[in-house]
Amino acid sequence: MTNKINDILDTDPRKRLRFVDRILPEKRYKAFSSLEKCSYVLSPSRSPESLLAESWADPHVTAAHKAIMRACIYSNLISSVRRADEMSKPEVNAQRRTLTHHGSLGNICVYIQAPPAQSEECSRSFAELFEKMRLLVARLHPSATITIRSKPEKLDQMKGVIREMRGTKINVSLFNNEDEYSLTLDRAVFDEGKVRTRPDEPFEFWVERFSDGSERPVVRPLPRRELTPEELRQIDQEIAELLDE
Amino acid sequence: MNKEHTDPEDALFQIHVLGAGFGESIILQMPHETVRGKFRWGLVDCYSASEDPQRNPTLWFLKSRKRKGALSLDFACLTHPHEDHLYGLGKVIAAEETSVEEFWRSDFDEPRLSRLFVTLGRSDSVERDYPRLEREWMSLLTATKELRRNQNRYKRLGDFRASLYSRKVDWIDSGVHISIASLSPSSALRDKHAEQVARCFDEDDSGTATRFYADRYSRTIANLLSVVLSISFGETRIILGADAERESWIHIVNDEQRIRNESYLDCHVLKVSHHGSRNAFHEEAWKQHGRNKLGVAIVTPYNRGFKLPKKEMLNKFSRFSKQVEVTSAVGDTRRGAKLCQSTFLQLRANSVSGSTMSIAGKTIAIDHQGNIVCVRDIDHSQVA
Repeated sequence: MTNKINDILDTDPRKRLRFVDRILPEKRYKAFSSLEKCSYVLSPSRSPESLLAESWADPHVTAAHKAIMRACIYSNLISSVRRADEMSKPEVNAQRRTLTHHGSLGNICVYIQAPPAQSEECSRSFAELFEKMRLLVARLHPSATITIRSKPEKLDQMKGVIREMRGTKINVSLFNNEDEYSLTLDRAVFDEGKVRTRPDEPFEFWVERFSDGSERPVVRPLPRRELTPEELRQIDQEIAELLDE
Repeated sequence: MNKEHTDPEDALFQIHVLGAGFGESIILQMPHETVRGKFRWGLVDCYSASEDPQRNPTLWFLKSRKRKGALSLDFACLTHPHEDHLYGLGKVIAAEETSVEEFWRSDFDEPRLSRLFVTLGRSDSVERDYPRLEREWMSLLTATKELRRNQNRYKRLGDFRASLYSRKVDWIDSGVHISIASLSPSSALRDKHAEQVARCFDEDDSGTATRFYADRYSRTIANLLSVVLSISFGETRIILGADAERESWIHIVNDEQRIRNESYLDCHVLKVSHHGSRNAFHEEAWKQHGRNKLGVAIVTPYNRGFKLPKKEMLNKFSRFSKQVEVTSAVGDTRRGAKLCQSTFLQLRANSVSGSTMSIAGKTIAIDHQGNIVCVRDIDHSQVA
């Protein structure tokens, strides 16, 4: 699914808009307009690195915003971002529909579009994206609340992902085609933060200072530690001994 | 009937369901046998929040009934490999004071599942409970190693109506038996489970389970294996549903329809499966449970993430059962007793203080003619 989204976003703008229109009608995003200064929108013309560097220097952009943007970029769901005020109004409007995230000061609001299909692959890429976001947000902004908006029919799909977000405050609001924010769910249904609070961090994140005095952020997913063949052999042996095989 | 007991409850079948808010242990206390001079005991699942055996509520409970022979278990059963049914079971079996005659578990590919749990536990990238899951799983394998060598003592359950246990109750003249059979998982569910477990490993077969699939296993796949036990004691029928979800009940109902000469789902006492969740509700199965005589439906809550049971489900259950009990509820559930579901109450319920431990749960006592004699809270101060 990730590849499919990338293909659509990277190639044909009309196709992209049609795709986005289908899942994200513009009227649902009217609430974003008051927060334009902090908005970054998609553009296929910028490389992620240049955008990251630019956003780092932007006084409007908090570390939390950057973390979210980076999470989006590294999750491969968007290819790059750029400042909203660099574009014409129609372009902004059009591009804004493709936002998969939005940062506001104070709390962090993460808007993510659920994959349109219900396939396992979709859920998986969605789960991975969410996990990356959660880890970054937990690290940079531990007191943040992640707000998830979801169509009611997507809720089942979201539940599994939300359940994994331990240690993070979560609000869930539902919307349907007629009314935005029409229903707010009981957060206790989803909140698992009460039991465990230790976020593990398979992401590395640091600021690198270069010789010209500039600072640039570096985010690198930690490679999952594969067990060595020797360790695997040892595990098999231990199990075989216990099972008398 | 019973001619020799001073305590009338000794002649009853007692089901002690422990569950302080997360996890469940079911201790079966069979009627006193005059010839053997003691009771028979069985254990279905176990949960201990602590790895310390001194703080294991099931072990405390058994120790507190040491004089009645509770430390000599006729059988221990692991219904499925989920933390809230597994943690502490290895410690109970391995404890010096206890002895276990037979161990029952679902029929699954044990080496593969073991590999899944151990690789997860030892990989740096994993989170949360996996290291403990690995330790608990290995401790269970170690504890049951001796039993595994004897097929009669290590039973893999997977056939509908497979007979597991049969004992005659020696003081009843009419020759009443206690027998236990497993109703689930069916072979189709076992196959499905095996297929899903295979997918928990990387496609390149590097041997390390991915976290995504491991979580998925934990969330949905493990319940496919859940053992459902049907216990008969004379005319009395008890069903322990473990974490069987709707799919399992569909299989059981279908299997039962094929046989039909006797209903296996019609029962007097039901341990509601999967903490009373909506996923586990199968109307047809409940109709059969409540066909004539369902006296008590007992629910063990789940307080991690989702809070189960929901009130709407308890209301649904009460359509089929005369009484609905929740193990962590103090008082009478029918009168809206407060459920003990918060973490604080959960911790308090199993706290150790000096030589006593508070244990939350319910005891149901039933005779061999299906009469429920009493349902009561387990004494909150059990002296070890």
